[in-house]
Amino acid sequence: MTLTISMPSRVVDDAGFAEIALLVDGERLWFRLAQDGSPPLRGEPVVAALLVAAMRRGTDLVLPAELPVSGAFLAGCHAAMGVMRHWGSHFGCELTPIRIVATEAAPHAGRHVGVALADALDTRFALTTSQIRYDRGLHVVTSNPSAAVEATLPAEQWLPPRVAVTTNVEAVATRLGTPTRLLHIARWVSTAYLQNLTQLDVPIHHPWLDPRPSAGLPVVLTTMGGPGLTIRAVGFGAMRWEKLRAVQGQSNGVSALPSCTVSAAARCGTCRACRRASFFATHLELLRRGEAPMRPGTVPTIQDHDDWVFALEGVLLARHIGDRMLEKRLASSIRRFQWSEWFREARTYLGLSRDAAVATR
Amino acid sequence: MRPSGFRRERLPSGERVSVIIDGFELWFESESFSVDVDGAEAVLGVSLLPAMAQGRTLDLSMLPAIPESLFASLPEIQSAWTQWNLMLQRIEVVAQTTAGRPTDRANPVTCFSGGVDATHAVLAGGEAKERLLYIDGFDHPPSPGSRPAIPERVARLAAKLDRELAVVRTNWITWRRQLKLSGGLTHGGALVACGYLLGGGQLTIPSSSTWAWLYPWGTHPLLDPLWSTPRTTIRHFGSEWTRCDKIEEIARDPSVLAEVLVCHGSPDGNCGVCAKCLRTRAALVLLGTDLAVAPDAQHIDVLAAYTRRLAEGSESSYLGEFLQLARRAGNARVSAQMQRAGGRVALRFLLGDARRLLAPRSTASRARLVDLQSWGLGPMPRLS
Repeated sequence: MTLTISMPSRVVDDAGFAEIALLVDGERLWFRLAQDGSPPLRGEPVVAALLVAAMRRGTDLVLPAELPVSGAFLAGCHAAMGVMRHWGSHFGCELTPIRIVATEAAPHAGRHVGVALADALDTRFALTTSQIRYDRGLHVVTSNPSAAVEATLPAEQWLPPRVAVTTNVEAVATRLGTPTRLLHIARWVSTAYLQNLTQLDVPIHHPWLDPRPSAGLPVVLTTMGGPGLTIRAVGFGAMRWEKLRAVQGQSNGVSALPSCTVSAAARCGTCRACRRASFFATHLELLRRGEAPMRPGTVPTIQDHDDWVFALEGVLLARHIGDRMLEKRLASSIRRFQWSEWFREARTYLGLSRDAAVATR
Repeated sequence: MRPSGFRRERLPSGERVSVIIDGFELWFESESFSVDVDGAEAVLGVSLLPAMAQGRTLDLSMLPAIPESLFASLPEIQSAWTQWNLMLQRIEVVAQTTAGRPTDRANPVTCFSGGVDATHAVLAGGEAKERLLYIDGFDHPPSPGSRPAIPERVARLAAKLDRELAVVRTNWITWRRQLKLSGGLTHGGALVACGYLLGGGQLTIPSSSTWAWLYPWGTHPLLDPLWSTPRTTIRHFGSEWTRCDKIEEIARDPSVLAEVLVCHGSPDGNCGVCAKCLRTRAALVLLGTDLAVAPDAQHIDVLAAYTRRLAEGSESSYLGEFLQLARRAGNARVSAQMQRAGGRVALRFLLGDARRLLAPRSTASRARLVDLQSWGLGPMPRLS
């Protein structure tokens, strides 16, 4: 079985934009970017976009001759697959290492040093703490509406020159089965190759206390670089409040809290974005404790693993500043979530196969 | 915490590096120490975590300088540990620093116990001229007398692999037990300390887990590289392979397999009946071979015995890969037994989690050692 990749094309329009497109199992995958930044057609962006989806389907990637890739990139992909093949059970699927068949080309030769402009806080933290002078701020305009909220950084002078890539890569990768937490690979690795970068720093949030397997994402991103492109995950390991503390002195440093996805006019308080905003607010209030005392009832309800990580970070922050009251409230919120998880597990144990119960471990 | 009295002296057989920390003389002895390594970074490797556990400033100003790059990594290393255990505190480290001399990756070293992970690391990722670091005093107190004790089997295995053994003898385990620090928490620092002293261009730490579950542990694929210095790159190797994958690779060479030492119980042979022996033997039996074990352990029903073990303690973490291997081997009887064991494991986890949720404080007070994986607040949610 293979994913059929066909009809690769690169068309430059009158406005000076290059559109790189191809068909994947009949579905059109496209990238649109300024012509001057775009190198000739190569296979690396395509492999990066489809690798996880192909692993999930267990289908080989066979690239047409017009999309050559370097041997070093292929070796990096195989190393990345060696890491990701262990993540299947956590995403409820099989991730099987696959074959990539492509014409071999010389390594990609990039010119620019870029940073991924993504989630507001992580990007600001990366830019604040980095010693590197970036000449490209890579901005991906996605056709995936659920991810659009992340690309909301206002244009400010202190940001590196922004270069935009408009693409449906996330939508296609998602439809083909890429788990959401692994869309980073499709989004950033493919566009880094398209934007002629020699280095890309990807701000990432994954504190050490979060044991999810995507903690290995920095390694996967790095291995999918190669001789002509170094990819690094930056900001890994730091907690959100450490990042907030680092950027809170900047103008707009902490103002870009996630918008409600349910109501445009007000916060619904229960959607994922509202819960994130609420945790951010809790952390911020703790950081500014001296200026504004804690309001009661601001500890949000934990509903998923991301919230749980937020809450644990909050516990560490509360301990750090010695706020025992908030620590206790966060702890009891965590305990309620753990009980709800326990009942879910018990139901699974009683009602489903034993395999399923083991697989959730 | 202020390590002092740092000494490096010649012995009739090799060299001894020692330092006094809070009245305890911590020492490392070997014939293989590099002549141009100061050793201050080794003291940092073993003393950082104890200082964090006690919440004390670590003052290394009495010691030679440590590399700037390692000094710059300390906040990140401390960040990992403080997030993994609420009892550990960020501390200030005072030290002289130096740019350090970068070297090529010549003279690599691989940590080597003679077990599955280490042997696989040599076979799959080793380099021809590497030395194998064996530590006398790592799992058990150092051997009495003035010379390190090397299990014969480890020496034979190193010879089979055509590698030179570099043996370090140390009383580190006595010190960490005195401080009530768990081995799981601190062993990474001890490994890198010995690696620094040997002065190799690269130190390989064989992995004992896969990327599927990056639990907090003294060695970790993302933490270990932070200990790198310009002279010694620290590499965590082998997370891409499961335990069963590693055993399968080793079994391809029967002469190497015959010398693998997996047993903690006996230093010169495999007892054949402990959890580690059974784990290795069960994988081998499913692959159509067996491990060289004590004669009276040869005739037990390995698969039945290990399937019972799988439902107990930490062995259950291997259940998934063994179930997969049994299915691949077409052994329906064992697959069914392992599935039933899976049911018992799930029930045990549920009951254990309920106990931790109902009585978190009593669980915490039973943990006497400073250890990892506290997460402070009871069981973790399942991954999704």
